[in-house]
Amino acid sequence: MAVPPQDARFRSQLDRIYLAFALAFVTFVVLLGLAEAVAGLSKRWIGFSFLLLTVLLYAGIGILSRTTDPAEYYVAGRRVPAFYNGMATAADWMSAASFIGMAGTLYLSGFGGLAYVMGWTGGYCLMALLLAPYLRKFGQYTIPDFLGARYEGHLPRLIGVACAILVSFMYLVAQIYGVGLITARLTGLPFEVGVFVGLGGILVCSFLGGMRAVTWTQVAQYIVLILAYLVPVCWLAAKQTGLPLPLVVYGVQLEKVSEREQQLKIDPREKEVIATFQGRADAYARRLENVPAALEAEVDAAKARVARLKHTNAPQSEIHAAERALAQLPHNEAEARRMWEAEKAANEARARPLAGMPEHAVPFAGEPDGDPLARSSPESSRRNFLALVFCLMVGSAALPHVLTRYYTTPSVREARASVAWSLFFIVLLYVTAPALAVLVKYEIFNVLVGTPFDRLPAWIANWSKVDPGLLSVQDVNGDGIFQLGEMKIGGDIIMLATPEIAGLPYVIAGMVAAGGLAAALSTADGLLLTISNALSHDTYYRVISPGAGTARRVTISKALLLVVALAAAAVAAHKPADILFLVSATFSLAASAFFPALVLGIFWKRATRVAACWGMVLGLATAASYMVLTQPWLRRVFRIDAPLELWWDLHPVSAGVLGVPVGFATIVLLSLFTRAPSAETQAALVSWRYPGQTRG
Amino acid sequence: MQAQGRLQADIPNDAAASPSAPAPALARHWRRTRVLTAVLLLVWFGASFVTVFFAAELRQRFFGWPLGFWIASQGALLVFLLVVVVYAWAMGRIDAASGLGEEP
Repeated sequence: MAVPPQDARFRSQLDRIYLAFALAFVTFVVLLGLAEAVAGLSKRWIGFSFLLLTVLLYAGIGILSRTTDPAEYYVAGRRVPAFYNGMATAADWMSAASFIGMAGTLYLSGFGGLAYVMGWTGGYCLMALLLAPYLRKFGQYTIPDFLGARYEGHLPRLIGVACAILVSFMYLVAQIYGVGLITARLTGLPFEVGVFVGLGGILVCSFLGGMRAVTWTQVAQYIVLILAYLVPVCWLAAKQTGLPLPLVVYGVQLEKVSEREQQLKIDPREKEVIATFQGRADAYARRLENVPAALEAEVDAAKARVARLKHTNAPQSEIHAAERALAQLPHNEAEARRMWEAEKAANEARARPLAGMPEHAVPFAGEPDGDPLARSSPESSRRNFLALVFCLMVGSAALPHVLTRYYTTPSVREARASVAWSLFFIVLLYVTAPALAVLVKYEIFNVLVGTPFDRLPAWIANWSKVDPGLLSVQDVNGDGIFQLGEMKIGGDIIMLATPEIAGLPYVIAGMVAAGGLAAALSTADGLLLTISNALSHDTYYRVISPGAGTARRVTISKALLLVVALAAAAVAAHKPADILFLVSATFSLAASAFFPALVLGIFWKRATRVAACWGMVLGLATAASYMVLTQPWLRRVFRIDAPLELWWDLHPVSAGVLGVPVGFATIVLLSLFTRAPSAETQAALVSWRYPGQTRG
Repeated sequence: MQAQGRLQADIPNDAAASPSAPAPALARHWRRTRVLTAVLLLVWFGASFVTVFFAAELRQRFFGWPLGFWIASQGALLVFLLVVVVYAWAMGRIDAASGLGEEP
């Protein structure tokens, strides 16, 4: 197929620009590294430089790509080559959760975490085979556009709008939260300030240039984030094995980690630590047997201590400390019960072999202890793994902000190639994450455990200072030697601390944070556009005021974008509970709402409007109600008192396993009982199935 | 194009393309597309759900990895990539065979 000359010129221009960009970024990192090594540039300044440079850069691209033309604003003029659309999709797709959270999840849950790796890549097969080329041929601006045209009317479009907003808004809040967190880490600014600084970076790009600016920024963001991910992992692999090829060498490291796990399980010192935690948990269990008496005894003891200290003229600081301890005791029975139950659970969680982590390489280990959500047999652990993979895959294929990206390619053929490029760029990161988890595990299990406390590397002290919730180390059994059970580590730290674990200069740590920021910003940009377009294009222009001029539509879209962004930032600044659950739940909801209606709409002429509306609503309702009935936080929010009952041990996050079949069944059954779509629509549908002349 | 109806009449319609090939060629194109899609979906399903279902049994060493772990962390991903690449390539051939080249 011949490529038109103007396209070839555009392409080679892009190649030059982004190659120059990548080189400039590397040069910048090297220069900053030199400044650190030679001139002793402080960490704070390195952090500021990265934040400032990257955000200014994204803003610069945004300003250069500003536009008010709808085709440019909504779909980047439909001339993004497959290769670059692949990069932009990859950045759009990989959020803060992928960049920062995934390695941590894999570290903590071993094989179980691979559900995310498989789910977030396998979904692209569904997208490539079932959706992307057809949506491109259909060739409008949004997913509700497709629902409105295929299902003949405003109702399916508006249901699509509602679902798209629900799903994207939840996801957006999580991204802005991530942006705030990283900005705060990078610069030491307070979290709330970080949220709004990051918001500025997001807005200047999507506000000025819509999809066009977002596309070209996302390509730059992909380059930053993939460099930031791969460099430290390769370095760590080289440090441990002498070969900078993590994907080749981590099998051997995994074998060593598995051997070490067996040793640690029978290690007497580890058992001492476990016994200590179990003892603490038992003490809380005894208090919980008779809360009023135990509380009274505690208060009395604390009061007696204060009195004794005062009586013996102890130093003022000691008296204050004792008074503070007294003031911090629970004020009533309910509070005491809540506090002690939490303490008991926390200690029990640490009183387990391998610090509560399953053996890394063993699939479906099952979990004999814990509450009904945590407890599982190997059988149900396998079922939940597969269910989660299913939900993540189907959900990935149905997320509106990613699907919209395939409207921006010049042709159907490019859309197909573009999915392949997207998956390639995504796999590059996702295939590395499990390697990173194993390499870090090797470093901690095989190298650190057994070192005396005074010889632990500096990164441990540094990170416990940043946030003891993320990393804390304590000599529990008092033998002066570090045991695995004595470390409490949060998943989010694994990726961020890798440069220091690998012994790299701080500038690489800054680069990793900048990569995380790029991941969060790029996803937030895509989501923000999806939400504001659903409101301005699908609701205002298509339903309320079809006569509106093009300039007015784009202006309204920009105004709404601002409102949505501020609303999301306001929610994120409140640090809503259980943000990780919200993110994963998004996939189940998107899968249940969109996937059946989109796939049947393309592959089955007979699917009708009424059926599609009910299918989307019932699918979404099924998934959402299962979550509300079973997820602890949602149960509290909605005040559900009925006993927690899981169907087939299915975890709330995988509610899509129920929602998707309900959606399909509803659409099929109702379609058979309602009048077939008009001949016009059927003919249009047929035309979407063939590539043809798709240039405008 | 007429058949796409009122809803799209008022916007620049860049999906405007009436397939240039005759009807039997189009029917053949759609049949081949569906067969290809079904075959590749089977491969996708096999690489993900079927192999992982047996992951606990696949304990043979594979360059250090237990085979089940390697499939879930690398093998399946490579198959996914292959599925998508093969689809893009094969659809291009199906298009060409039906005379549905895309350029104006």
